[in-house]
Amino acid sequence: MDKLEGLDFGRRRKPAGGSMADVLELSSPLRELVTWMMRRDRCDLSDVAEYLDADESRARRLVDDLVDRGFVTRIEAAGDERFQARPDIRSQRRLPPNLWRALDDLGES
Amino acid sequence: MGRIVSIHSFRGGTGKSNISANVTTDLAARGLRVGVVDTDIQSPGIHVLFGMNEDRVKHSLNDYLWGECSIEDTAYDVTDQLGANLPGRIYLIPSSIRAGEIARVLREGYDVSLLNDGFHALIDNLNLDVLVIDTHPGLNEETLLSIAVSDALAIILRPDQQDYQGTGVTVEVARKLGVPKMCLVLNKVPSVFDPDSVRERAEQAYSCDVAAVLPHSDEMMALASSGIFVLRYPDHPISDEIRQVADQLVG
Repeated sequence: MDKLEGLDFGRRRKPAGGSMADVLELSSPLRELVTWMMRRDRCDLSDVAEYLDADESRARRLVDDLVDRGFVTRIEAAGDERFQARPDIRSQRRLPPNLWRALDDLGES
Repeated sequence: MGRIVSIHSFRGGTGKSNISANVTTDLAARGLRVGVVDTDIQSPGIHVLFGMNEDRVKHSLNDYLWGECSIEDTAYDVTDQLGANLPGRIYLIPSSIRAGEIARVLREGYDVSLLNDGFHALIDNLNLDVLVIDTHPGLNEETLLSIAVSDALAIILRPDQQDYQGTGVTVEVARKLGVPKMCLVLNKVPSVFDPDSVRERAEQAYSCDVAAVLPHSDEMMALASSGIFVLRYPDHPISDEIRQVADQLVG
C-alpha cells in the first residue's frame, strides 16, 4: 500500500502542538510515520524516503510539514541533518494545592 | 538493535510490575541483556521484586528527568543479587520512592520526551537486547509515549468488567499508534474459570492474541513481591505461561 496515499501536501495547517494526543488525531499515514520515527530515535531523510517508498523531495515536504507542526525536530550538526520525532509533552499536575502542601510537609519530615 | 517492550494495563492492581519483573528475568535466563525501567513514577514498586534496597539508589529516573544525571547513572545491575547465576544481565532503572521526590515530579512535571531519549540511550550505551518498560496504569501523555515507542506491547487485564472496558480502549489506542506487536495477558483468573474459554473469549472480543492466562495463585500471593516467581517456582504452570509472554514479546 502506498504510504503517501491520502496525504495533503502543501496545505498549511495551524500548528497542532505536537502532543501524543495530537499524534492520535493525525491522519493515518502521518501518524504511522511519526510513531515509526519515534521507534527509530533519529533518522535522516533517506531513511524516511525508504520507509515511505518515495523520493527524497517528497519525503522532505512531509518531514518539513511535521517539523512545522511540532511533531518532529530537525537536528543539524557538522553539516549532517537528522530528524527526531519528539512530541512536545510535559507531564501535568494532577492534585489540588492542599495535597501538594501536605506532600511537601511529608518530604521535609 | 535492542527492542523496546512495554507492559501496560488500563487499571491498577493487575500485576503489571510482577509480570514485568518475571518476563525480564526469564529473558535474562535466556542469556539476554535486559533493562527494566519503572516509569510508574507516581507509584513505583518493581524495585521491591528485585530486592533493591533504597539505600543503594544514588540516582533514580526522577534525577534523570530533572537533568541531574545521565540515564546510565540510574541503571543498577541487579542480576547477581537474584542468586540464580543467570547467563544474561538485568539492569534496573528505578523511580524514586522518596515522598518528597514523588511530590516534586508530580508538581513540577517533566519533559516526557526525555523518556524516549533515555530509552534509546540505555539500549545503545548498555548494549541491551531488550528494554522492558513497566508503565503507569491508564492512558495519559506519558503512557501514550511508552506505547508508541514500543516494538511490542503486553496489556495486562483481570477477568473483571471494568478491566474489559478499559482494555478495549487501550487496544484501540495501541492500534492507532501502530505498535508492531501486541498481546493480552489475563491475570489472576479464578480457578472456577476455564482458561481455554477465557482465552477464546478475549481473543474474539479484542481481535488480539492472548499470550497467557495466569491463574490466581496462592504461591504468588504468598511470595508477596519478595522475589521473582519464575526463579522461585520454575516448574510451576504460571512460570510456563510467563515464558509464553516473553516468547510473544521478543519472538
